[in-house]
Amino acid sequence: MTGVIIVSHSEKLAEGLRDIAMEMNDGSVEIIAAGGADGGRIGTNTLKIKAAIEALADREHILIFVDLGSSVMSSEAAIDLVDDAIQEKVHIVDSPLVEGVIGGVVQATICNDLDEILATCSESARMKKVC
Amino acid sequence: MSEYILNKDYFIKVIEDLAVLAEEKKDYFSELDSAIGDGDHGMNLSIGFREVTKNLDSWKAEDISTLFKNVGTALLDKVGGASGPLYGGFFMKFGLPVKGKEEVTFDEFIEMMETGVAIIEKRGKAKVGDKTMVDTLRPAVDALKAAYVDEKLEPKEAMKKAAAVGSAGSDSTIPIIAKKGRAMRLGERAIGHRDPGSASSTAILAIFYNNMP
Repeated sequence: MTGVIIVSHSEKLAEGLRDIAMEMNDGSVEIIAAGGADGGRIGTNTLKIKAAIEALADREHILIFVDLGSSVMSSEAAIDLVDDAIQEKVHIVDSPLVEGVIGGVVQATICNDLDEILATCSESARMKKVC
Repeated sequence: MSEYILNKDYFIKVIEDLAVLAEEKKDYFSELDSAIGDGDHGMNLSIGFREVTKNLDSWKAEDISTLFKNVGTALLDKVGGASGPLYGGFFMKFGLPVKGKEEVTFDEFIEMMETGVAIIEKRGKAKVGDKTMVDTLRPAVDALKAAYVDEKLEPKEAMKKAAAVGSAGSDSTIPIIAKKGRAMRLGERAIGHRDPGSASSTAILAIFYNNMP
């Protein structure tokens, strides 16, 4: 089963996106919002992301979705801080944040294959909204 | 001749001076960052080092390695921008080569610097010429090694040279475009502006130098 971590510079954006994704979730995917810097400021927080990874340690795959800039670096720093056995199952997903999370969560509810889930996430970058 | 030693008091003084720097240069670092980034570099360092200052007294009994691990963790926790994982990583790794020690040799100090700078390069995936703090730190650490190991300069003279090379490295960020960070999106508009990370790194090197016995 898959765990999802949402890393945005905005705590509210991460929580709001979690709310949307939960609408698509049958309960099998655990989603943690790990947005914002310390004290709710705009930014990212390595230790918050680390705590989220550890909370999902029993999951088969842990997918981290990021927005911009330092969200990637903070996530990589967080992965460095957890045990090796957990590190192996953590993946930073290269996809748009909203589309990637929604696509990834839906796919993770219907299959448990990491490659398939990641493929769905990256395909979300090409999703057309206005035809 | 007795061996050159850097004791824990030296490192504590360095940390205290870093906290002073973060306050005094807050506006300067943020101004540099406003020109080509998101303008929060000074504020971020200030918030991070305020947390360090708040806890430093309770850390003073720890060995040098733990002391810097605590500094790094505070920066990781409090600094919201890119400088959090970069400088946080630097200080967390800085003490790794000297676990349990209360004082270090100059050879060990060089190893600490190399370990710290290596994590910044790894984390930021940046090379010299990308207009980042690496433009200051990589040439400085290479110069430190060359000056002490090859040219056999005295430790403080070697660090003086490293700081000067680092400062020149920061100057070298002014006329170039950025290949990392938000400044990258500005293209040629970044030309003419000093990279804020290279400026703070230069000031940090100067503090390591100034406090050396």
